[in-house]
Amino acid sequence: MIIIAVAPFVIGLDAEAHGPTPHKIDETVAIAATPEAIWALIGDFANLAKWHPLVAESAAKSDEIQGKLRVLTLKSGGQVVDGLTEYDPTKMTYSYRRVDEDVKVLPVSSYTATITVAPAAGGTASVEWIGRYYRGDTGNDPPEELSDEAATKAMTDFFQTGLRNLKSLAEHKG
Amino acid sequence: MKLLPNWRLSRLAAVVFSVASLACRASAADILYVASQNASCVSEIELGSSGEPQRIATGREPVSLALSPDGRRLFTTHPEIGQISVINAATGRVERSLSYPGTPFGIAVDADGRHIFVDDWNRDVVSKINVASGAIITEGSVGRSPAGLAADPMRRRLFTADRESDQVSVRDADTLAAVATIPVGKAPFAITFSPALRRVYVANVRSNDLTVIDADSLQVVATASVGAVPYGVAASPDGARILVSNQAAGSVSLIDARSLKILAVIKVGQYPEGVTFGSTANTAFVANWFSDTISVLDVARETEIRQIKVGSGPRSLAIGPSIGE
Repeated sequence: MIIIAVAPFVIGLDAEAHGPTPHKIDETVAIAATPEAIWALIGDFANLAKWHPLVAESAAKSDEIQGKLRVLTLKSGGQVVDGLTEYDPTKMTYSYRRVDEDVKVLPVSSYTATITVAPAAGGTASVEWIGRYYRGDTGNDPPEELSDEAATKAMTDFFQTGLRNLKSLAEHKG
Repeated sequence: MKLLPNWRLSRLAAVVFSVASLACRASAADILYVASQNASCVSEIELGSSGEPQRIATGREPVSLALSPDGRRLFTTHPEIGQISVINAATGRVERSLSYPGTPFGIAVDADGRHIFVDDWNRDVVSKINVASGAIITEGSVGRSPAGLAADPMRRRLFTADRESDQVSVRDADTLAAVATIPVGKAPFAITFSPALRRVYVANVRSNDLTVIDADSLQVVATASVGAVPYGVAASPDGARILVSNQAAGSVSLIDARSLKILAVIKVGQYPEGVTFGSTANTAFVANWFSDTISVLDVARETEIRQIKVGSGPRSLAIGPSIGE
């Protein structure tokens, strides 16, 4: 991987947990397995490590205000904490948001996301993972590593790598 | 002098004070304006017409909208580039672009239409700007990361939702002097003033609730639970209903303003954000940020009637009269 460094000419402002421009991510994968089999893999919100190869460990936690949480230890180092916002096993979907703000671990100051298993033709399924996120530094002159591009790359890598592995796991078990 | 953040308030003022300034209204049709941040445009939808929305190209990534009391000028903030667009509603064109030394986010228009108020996400201030000169007349400090901005025309007060301070700042609209600081829920973002009930409603993104503030005593009178990740709030013109968008649930909560009971949860598009009622309480509109659509709601029947396609990333809405050229 080549990282092109651009000399920052303005000092970045402080990172906030939010910012001016949210971005969309929308990743879908078709899987030759039943929706039920796929949901059996991903339906446990807390256990992302079960199917996501970038997550070394995931632990359930609960918080008075944020509700059900998952603490993800990334293979690249550091932790990310997600809070569950919606959970509907009958529709095979859940939504969550980032609760912590450590942009060094993941250069995204905040995100919300939803993952859904949808039935497809011939007893197969598709999995759609969508989200809304903000760059790491929501000031108007973010440094390269906390820019929109860095956030988009991090989110896209995370979603695509997860879905690729989910497909592989589900199809080999199927 | 009254402070009027949008046309709906001006209609109320017209009823109460027989203000003649609305005589310029060309027709009974209402126009819904939509700021589409990712598409860098404002969509103009003529309600009651089946025509395609008109797109007004603006500067980069518009976020918040406010209409002048006479409905002739629309203002939108561009936080990424430090600009405020002034749109001529009759021609559907950006007639001027005001530069702003920061990250303008929330916006309201003064009753005379000659001044606007914006808050600054990164500098943590609210600014009063002369529209004709573009000059900042005065500024006042607020809490961290002010987002939504609402105005009470009667007492001439401004309210900002200070997202990272979990508070609402209240400022005098003439001097921007501090009036009060009100602790609310976690991460307040959207805020609206209901002139009918004289209340301010604040949607708290991280605590999934709505703080209700008495606009006279400036006390919190209630906190009502809503759906997950509430990102938009509006009050009906008669004050009886409140609408809150639940971004993570793809729904809006319709709330009885007096009992604060949830009357219905209505499914809309994905990642709903800005909401507004029509010029009556019967219709309401929701900006579905992810779906790139506007949901049209039948409020009495508590249902979505249809969705209208708009530019990518619709965030905020404003409703006003149709203005002929």
